Amino acid sequence: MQQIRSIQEMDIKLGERFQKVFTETWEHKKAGGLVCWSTSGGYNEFLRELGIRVVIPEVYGMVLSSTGMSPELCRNTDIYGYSPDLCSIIRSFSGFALSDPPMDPSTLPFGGFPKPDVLFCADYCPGLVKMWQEFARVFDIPMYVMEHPWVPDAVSADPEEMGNKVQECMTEFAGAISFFENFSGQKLAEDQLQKIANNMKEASVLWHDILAMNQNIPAPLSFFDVANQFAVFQFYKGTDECVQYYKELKAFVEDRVANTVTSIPEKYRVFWFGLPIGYRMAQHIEKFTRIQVQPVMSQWACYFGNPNMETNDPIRGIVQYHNLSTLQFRGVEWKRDYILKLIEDYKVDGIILEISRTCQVINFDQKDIAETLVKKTGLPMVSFEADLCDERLYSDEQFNNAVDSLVEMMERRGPGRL
Amino acid sequence: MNELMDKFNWVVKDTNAYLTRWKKQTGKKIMGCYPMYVPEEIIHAAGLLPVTIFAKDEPVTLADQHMHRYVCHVVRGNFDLSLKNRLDYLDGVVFTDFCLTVRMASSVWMVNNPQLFYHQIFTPQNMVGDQTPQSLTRQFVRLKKALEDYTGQEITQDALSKSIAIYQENRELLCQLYKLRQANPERFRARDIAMVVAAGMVMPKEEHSTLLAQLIEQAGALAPQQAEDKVRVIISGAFCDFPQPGLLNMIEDTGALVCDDDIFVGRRLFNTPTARDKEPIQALVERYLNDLPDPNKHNPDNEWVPYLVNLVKETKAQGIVMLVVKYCEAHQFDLPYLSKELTAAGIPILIIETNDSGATEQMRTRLQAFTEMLISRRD
Repeated sequence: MQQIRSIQEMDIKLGERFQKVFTETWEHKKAGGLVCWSTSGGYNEFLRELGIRVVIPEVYGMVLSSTGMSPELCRNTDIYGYSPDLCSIIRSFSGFALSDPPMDPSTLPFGGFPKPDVLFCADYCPGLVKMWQEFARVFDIPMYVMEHPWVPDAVSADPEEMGNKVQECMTEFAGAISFFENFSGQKLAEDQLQKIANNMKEASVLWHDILAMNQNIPAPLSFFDVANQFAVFQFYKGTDECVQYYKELKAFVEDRVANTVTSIPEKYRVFWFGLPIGYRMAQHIEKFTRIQVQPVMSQWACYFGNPNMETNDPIRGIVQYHNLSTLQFRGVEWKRDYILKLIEDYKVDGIILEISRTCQVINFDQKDIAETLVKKTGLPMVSFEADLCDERLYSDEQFNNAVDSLVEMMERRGPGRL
Repeated sequence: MNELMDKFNWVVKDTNAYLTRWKKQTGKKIMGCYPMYVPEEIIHAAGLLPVTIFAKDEPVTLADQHMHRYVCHVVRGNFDLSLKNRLDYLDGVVFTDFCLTVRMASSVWMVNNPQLFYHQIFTPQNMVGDQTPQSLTRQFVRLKKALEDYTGQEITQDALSKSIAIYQENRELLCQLYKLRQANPERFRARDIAMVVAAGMVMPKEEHSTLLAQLIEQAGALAPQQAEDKVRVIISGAFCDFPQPGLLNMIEDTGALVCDDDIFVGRRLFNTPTARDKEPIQALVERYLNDLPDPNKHNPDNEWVPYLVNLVKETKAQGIVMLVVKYCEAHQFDLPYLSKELTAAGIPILIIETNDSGATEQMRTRLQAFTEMLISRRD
């Protein structure tokens, strides 16, 4: 018998971790410490060891989305001349980062974050490079740009070229370390990087173990729980604290499995192909609870962590973590096969395709992949257009119609999963 | 001149017929070059015809089943042509990954047009990275090897050097044409110049250079025309795109003279030379690294705004018409900065967003207002 219980306990702990990051960053800055704004593409884990605190504005963009502040901030960037077609996460955090006069931090979630002393851009999305260039001009500070190469299918199938790519990324990463050592005046010890790599690996294994527990019926977590809990990775990746957090989360989820506890009553299980919609998450949970449909997995949850990374050479391991595991940087066939396996493993009854209007990294090849998923699995699929942060591009009506149609299709299809 | 222009126009308007006939006559293979930055000389040296894949000025229908409508019309448009069998003359396609959309488009092409040869070059975006030259060299060598495997024939250094010389001759001729245009823009319609350049992105360079030399000779012999009431402008942007002829006509019909440009189907094709006296791959790498700034490249030592300011000064232009392909993310992100800096430099700029819906009356109104403003500033 399913017991329905939210994971509020872990969400509170998550909120505390978040608050700690922002509070510590302000204290660090006030004490004369250095602050770096980094893209979420990674490689920034070593900065902490050089006395540089890292802020990831993209993650904060998602926080702004969840708190409903994004539309106003996106409107600010409209006024600055940025097109509403552009990535709404970037427009969200830029809406306050570029505001003149600066916004009062106390009006922002977690008290906002301080201005940077340096910028780090691991270039995986053109919008980020462009905005980091603008930040470099506005704040008149140095920036390090690191290539974040794509891995098309032809390269995935070519071990020699994959090796070359990894080698080039390793050289790039070593260059980044050297740049920030010079900037901070501190030297990164080899054992510090080794510890970071070990922690990244351990947290990755824990995270993927946690995700795998959602293969249980009922799943102990909903996709919405997962979408919140990944966040510790972003700010604490490579630290003991990150490993400790995911150990706690794993034990928490194991307990839910043992007691058949789930977040959303699970008559049907669905795969969420897209991104979570922070500003409607509460409504989505309410809707899915009412219709007893649980989104149990998404490709998005698997962007974080690489349990297969090697740790004997930390630079190689960290490159493997950031460039090789993340399916968003792969070709259509690689992504399609990965998602097909997720759909099989997680035993879903249907697929929801969320189309993020302003995120081309996610939406570009979704149609071809989605078509194959339906052809190969025979599962019903519905889609709706939305956007990660800009509520103006989302319609409740469209979402509700899509989900209701999916339920009808799943009911008509009857019980029996893959 | 009219006869030559008719030939250029025909090649561009009916590329399919031209290349199908060329292929039948020569028995050679055609390699599509996805815009932008494919080192065509390597393809040419392999004995293949490199041809730029353009989108056509027509509605996209079939591609919408595979790509969302908020992908730029260049990528949707040329993919649409492939699905409509209008690019059947292609034997393969070489992609770079200079922008996010292009790098992702390659995968979608491969899945939906599996009969073609494919190769993708990783083109660095960070122009000032320590290992950027080595990384790009390796990519160009990899392309060379892939083409050798495909054709079964070695690409010799000599063949590469010859191809570089043929391409460089073509660039120099285009340079001459642009000098004539700068000196007397009344003599050339912007649409005609774009057709001449675009034809060279489809025809064998050898044939194009022959026709181009004739055109330059004929144009040079014409008496200068004067149109004092017009204002001189530069068109910029239109990355990967062939600007719609209707829009180019509209710019000039509102009282402007396009005296130069900074577009893909224009100066960006020939501005940066390839050294003839260097090791060929090295020369091609240096060309890429020294090429004109664009929004997708990160190079604090070679920024776009100073380049544009200088181009305006050199050409005595009075303003810039910036053509922005809708959903071209990197370019769109640059617009606030460009507008602010160019305005601060005293250069008026008009931003026109283009998509597959053609030149509109709204565009005409904005162009008229812009031209009138430039005239009033001049007077």
